[in-house]
Amino acid sequence: MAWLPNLPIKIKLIAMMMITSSATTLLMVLAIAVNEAVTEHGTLEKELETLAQVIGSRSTGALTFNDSRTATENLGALQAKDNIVYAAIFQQDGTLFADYKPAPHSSEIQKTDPPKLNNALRQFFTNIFSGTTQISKDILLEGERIGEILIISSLDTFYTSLANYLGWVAVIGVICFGISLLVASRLHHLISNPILNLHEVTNTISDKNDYALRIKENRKDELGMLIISFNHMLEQIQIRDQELARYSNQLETEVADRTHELFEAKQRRIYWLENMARFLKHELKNATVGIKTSLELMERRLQDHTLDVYLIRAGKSLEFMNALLGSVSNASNLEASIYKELLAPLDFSLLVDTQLEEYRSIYPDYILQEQLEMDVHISGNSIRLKQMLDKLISNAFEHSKENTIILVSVLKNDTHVELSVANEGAKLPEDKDRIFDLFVSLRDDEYQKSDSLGLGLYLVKLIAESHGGWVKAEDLQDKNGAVFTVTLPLNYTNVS
Amino acid sequence: MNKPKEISSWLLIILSLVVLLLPLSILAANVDDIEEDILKAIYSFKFGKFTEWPKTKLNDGNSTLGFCILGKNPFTQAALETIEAAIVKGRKLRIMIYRSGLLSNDALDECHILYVSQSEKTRQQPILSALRDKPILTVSDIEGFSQKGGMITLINIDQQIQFQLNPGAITRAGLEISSKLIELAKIVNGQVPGANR
Repeated sequence: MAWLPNLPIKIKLIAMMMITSSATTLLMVLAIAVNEAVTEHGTLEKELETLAQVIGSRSTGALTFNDSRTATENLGALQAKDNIVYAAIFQQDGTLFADYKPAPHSSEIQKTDPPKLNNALRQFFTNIFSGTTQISKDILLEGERIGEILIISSLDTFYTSLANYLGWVAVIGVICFGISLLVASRLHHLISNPILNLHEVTNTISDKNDYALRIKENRKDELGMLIISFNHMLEQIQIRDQELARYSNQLETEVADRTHELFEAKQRRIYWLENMARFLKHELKNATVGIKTSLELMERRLQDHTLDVYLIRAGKSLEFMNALLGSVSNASNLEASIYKELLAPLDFSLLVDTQLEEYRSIYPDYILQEQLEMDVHISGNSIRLKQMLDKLISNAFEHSKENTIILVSVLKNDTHVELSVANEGAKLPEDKDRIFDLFVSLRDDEYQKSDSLGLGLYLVKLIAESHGGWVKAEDLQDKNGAVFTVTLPLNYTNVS
Repeated sequence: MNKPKEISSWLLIILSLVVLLLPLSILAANVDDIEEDILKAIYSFKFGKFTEWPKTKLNDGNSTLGFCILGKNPFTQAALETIEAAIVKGRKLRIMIYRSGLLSNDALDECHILYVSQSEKTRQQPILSALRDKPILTVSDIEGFSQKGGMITLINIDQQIQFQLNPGAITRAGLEISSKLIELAKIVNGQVPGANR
């Protein structure tokens, strides 16, 4: 029955109507046929009873005065009834007094050429009835039983009558079935058409995303209400779509505005940094040139070597200032230009591996270990990425304990690659989120081996972001130390 | 002298044989008579079952139906015992035997069925005249009884008891006979009792 739900709705409707009407008609026909059979059989028995009553009554005189001839004549009246196969009158003691058997030709006539349906019915009903029916009645005279009459009738007439009746019922049943089919094939449109129309419109809406469509229907029944509700739903969806489109436009405009504002703010910051760097470089350079020249003149003219230590300290301070100015200048230049640099496909794991080999040769005192996942290809600027790795390794060297391992790992997932550099040493400060800001150095001096300008990790962050990635710093979980992780997308295009 | 003696001896022998054989013939005749007798008795009272008397005749306050025998009783004790327990019209049969030729008024009131015996053959005319218009069913086995105004005559034809019916006499007496009886009887158009007076 799994195929039943998949049938077209009009077939289902026609089938439902036909099954209902056919079942009803069949039940009605069966009920009428059974009723007809019972009634017909009852009528036959009633008729036999009446005949027995009449003939018995007529034969009371014959029985009383032992006139079997008259009794036989009375029974002979049954000749008019073709269905009577035997009749008899018995005396009070059960002795046969008179009897009647139809003439042989009469039964022959009955048996010639019986209708096929009648034969089938006879066969069928023989299993239910005996094929004959009989009535016996006492013959009474003044309330006293003086004998008994027996009449046996064949059911041929009954079968013939029933066969004719069923034949007509079958014909009428077929006509009713035809009419039902005709009516059902017309009436199913009342239900199927609106549903098919609804289906068609929903398909069109689904294909074209056109929620302005409406179904035209003027009926007032449940289907009409359904269509009205559907149209109302479409109207609601249409209104919501319009509102969403409006909100989306507003949002896009707002995002564009904010992006523009951020871009302008960033540009202003870069411009400010550039100007500041240029200004500091220009102004401080003049000042430092003057100080340096003065210090050189003082060194040449003063022969007191006790002041050398102050001169050397002043010289270092000047060098630091020069370095600081150079770093500020580099940082402002880098921030202004790094987002405009082109990215090219490269093997990131190979790049890291090569760099690590170089670090080992240059810094043999440090223990570098790697855990690299090979064949990690990204879009990037190899110079900047090497610069980023330099800064991370320098940071690890700077803050690692002696004779501890610095672990460099490259791991990738479906979308990103993670480069992490872990070293044992000091834990990260509480406000570690600021560690990547420009000119910020938060680490304790316990493990710090030189002064930090707070520029290295800022560059790491700047390079990572220019490649669409981000950075984070965490404490090691099982020991003191820190791990710096750079996450880069595998497929990134620099929109700038 | 010896010859008459011989003749008388032969006569004695013949007479002795006759005497010896006579009871056998009488006995044989009695058996047939008894069967016929019983049948006639039964038929006679059963005619009552197919007869309707006027209401005045049946509303006589009695719970019995009178079955009267006029003349010498033709029925044996066995025959009478056979019918005396019978019920006709819901009443028990009461058998009354009248020896004399004419019935008194009381007897006429009590009798519903009157069987006229063969002994009254010679007096049947005055008997029937006296019964004229009386609602009494008259039955007899006297030959020609119905032709002379009697209602039912029992006749023996080929050892079968049949009966003749005089519908005129029955109707005049205010009686009604069932057609079931009529169709069994031989209809006789008898004279009206007393009409020849």
